[in-house]
Amino acid sequence: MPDLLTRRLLITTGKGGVGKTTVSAALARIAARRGLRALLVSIERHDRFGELFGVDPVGATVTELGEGIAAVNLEPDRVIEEFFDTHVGLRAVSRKILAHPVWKSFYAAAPGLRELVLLGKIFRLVDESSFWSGKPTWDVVIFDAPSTGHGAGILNVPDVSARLLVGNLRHQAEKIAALLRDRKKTALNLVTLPEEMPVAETIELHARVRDELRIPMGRLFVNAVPVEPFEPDDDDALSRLQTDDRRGLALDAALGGRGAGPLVLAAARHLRARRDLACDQADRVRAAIPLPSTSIPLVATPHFDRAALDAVADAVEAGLRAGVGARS
Amino acid sequence: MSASETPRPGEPSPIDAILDAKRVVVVFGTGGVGKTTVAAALAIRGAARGRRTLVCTIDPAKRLADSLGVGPLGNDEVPIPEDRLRAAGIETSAPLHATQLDTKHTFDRLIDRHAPNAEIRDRILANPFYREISGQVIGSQEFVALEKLYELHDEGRYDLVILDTPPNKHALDFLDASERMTSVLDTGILKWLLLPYFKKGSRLSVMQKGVRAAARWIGDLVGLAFLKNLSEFFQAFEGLYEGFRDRARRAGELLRERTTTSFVLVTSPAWSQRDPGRSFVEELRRAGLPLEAVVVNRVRPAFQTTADGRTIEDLLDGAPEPEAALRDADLDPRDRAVAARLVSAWRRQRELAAADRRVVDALRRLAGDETAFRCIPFFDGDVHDLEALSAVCGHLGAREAAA
Repeated sequence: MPDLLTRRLLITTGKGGVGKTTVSAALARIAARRGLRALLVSIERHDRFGELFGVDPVGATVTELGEGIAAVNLEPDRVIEEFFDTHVGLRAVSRKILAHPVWKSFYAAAPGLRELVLLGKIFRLVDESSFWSGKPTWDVVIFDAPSTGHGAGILNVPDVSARLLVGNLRHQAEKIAALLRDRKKTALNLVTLPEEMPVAETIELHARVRDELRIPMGRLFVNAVPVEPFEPDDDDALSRLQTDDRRGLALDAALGGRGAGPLVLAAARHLRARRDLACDQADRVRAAIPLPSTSIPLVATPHFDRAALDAVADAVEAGLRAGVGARS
Repeated sequence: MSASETPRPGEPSPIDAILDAKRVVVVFGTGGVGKTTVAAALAIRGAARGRRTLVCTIDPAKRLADSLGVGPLGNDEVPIPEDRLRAAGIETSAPLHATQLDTKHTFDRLIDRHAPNAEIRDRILANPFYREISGQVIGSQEFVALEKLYELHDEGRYDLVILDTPPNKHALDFLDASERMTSVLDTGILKWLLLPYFKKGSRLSVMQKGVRAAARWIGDLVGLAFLKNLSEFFQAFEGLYEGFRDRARRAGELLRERTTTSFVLVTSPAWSQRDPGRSFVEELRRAGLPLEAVVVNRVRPAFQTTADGRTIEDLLDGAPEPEAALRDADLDPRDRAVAARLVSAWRRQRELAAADRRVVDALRRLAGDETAFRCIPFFDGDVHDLEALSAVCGHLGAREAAA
């Protein structure tokens, strides 16, 4: 597989709360480290890019986050206005159509129209180039896609639209679908947590992307993998401390002799149990999804700041380096 | 701690008081926080308190669905046998049922109920536009969940219905679902507009001519075939719309019926770094709806209190620093090295637990004294069988809101 960052459009997707935005931001950091211009795109009501980079929410205007990274949070209504302005030519006329009751009811009723227009905007961002040099404005556009419900959500829209529509919009839907399927330009990355539900849904999502959407896939990111607090051959010593009364008492005695020992051992049991569950789920998702995968260790911090983001970016970058050429 | 948080002896705990008094409990929150688990545990507790209870789940984890005996198709209401519950240490005094929402099936049934005849029903069910809105479209699951809730409530076969909701980042996405669907299905304007467009030879008024120009423009954009589907759908739907809208309105009213309906927010400190539930609490408040309980799931335990209630500060009071103390411990060097790692892992766990604690405290202040507030610890294993649900029940029903 060629390096992820040679693609022009990277899509990050997965279930809600698995860390998609963090992975998207980490990919942008890595692009910037390599001297590439990266644009982060979200379509949420409230974007989290600002929070991750320590600035205000970015909103609907492309905003520089520094170090060669920019971000934008697309708003459907503004994108629709822009779309009409370009297609109608005359701004006054396009605003009249937008205000027309026919358009308004149509817009409310047409399934996926908002999503289609948003994807159209992303398509144009990928396509955008400098008038003078002809070089693309953005080396890589990283689309932090909304969380998938049961289906593939927004990524499904170009196909649905191409089925339902025939006019101008169908043409646009087909162009978007072609970009989404271009192996040289696009890669879709899956993010999951090493837990039962996210893993089950990620496996389902992968099958759908492969069989129905046919969008080329990049990597699988297993996020927030618990950090191993013990060393592999600690197992024997651990069980000795946990089962042997004399050793247990000696531990407790060293900690003051009033019951701290059992608490320490209970914490160890808990951490090991959670780690084992996480490892099982990580193994399960890797076995089911034949993509190069990266484990991102759990960053234990009360405030997810720049340092935490850099730690994630380091893990992702190490995975990218190791993964080059690993699979085709 | 407020009066509502510490019930007098003999009075039910705050969560139990809700389960005793209400007929509908809506459980909501973002994805991955354990909504379905909490909904199932609330239902078990309801049945244990003598109320005929149904839990309606949406897309549960497979093993949890298996434990409840529900499948994804057909909306079957499955009884959970008393002996299975008893084997898991749960004593119920009223029947407990579970079901899983089937979006497409429920939507089709709704069309069936309102259609004046079989021909119109079949025309709608076969229409491509209908097939899209009843399946994939964002918001239809919420609409259908509410519809199902209304149906169950209306039939009155249960004293208590616990509704799990689709994962949402915004409380209003669920609360407004029926309104939004109603506006999508509002035949008035589109039917009126599209009719002359597809009826040849009809005489058009000046206004309709303007409308026709707009419709033609949209036709260029999306194609005539699409408008034809749309027009046919809305023509067929005309006779259903009134009934449909009234029902959606009544379902919306049920949500706002304070004596009947209660909202429970499920959240988790680990779900996101910044907003675990805050926006939900604020949105509900703005909508004027009472948030009666907040359940914070998967709170990382601090391992700081012994069984007899002494805290770690008491235990370590006057003791030497753990790492230094371990150097002199009566252990062989190998065990001593592992013990040192144990202590540092435990410290790290305590830091994580302290971070969770801060999130929980902030949420608790935000929720206020009127809201029941319960924490469920992050267990050693995942919750997917009745035994584990029974443990969740225990935490939900606790009289004091210990974390």
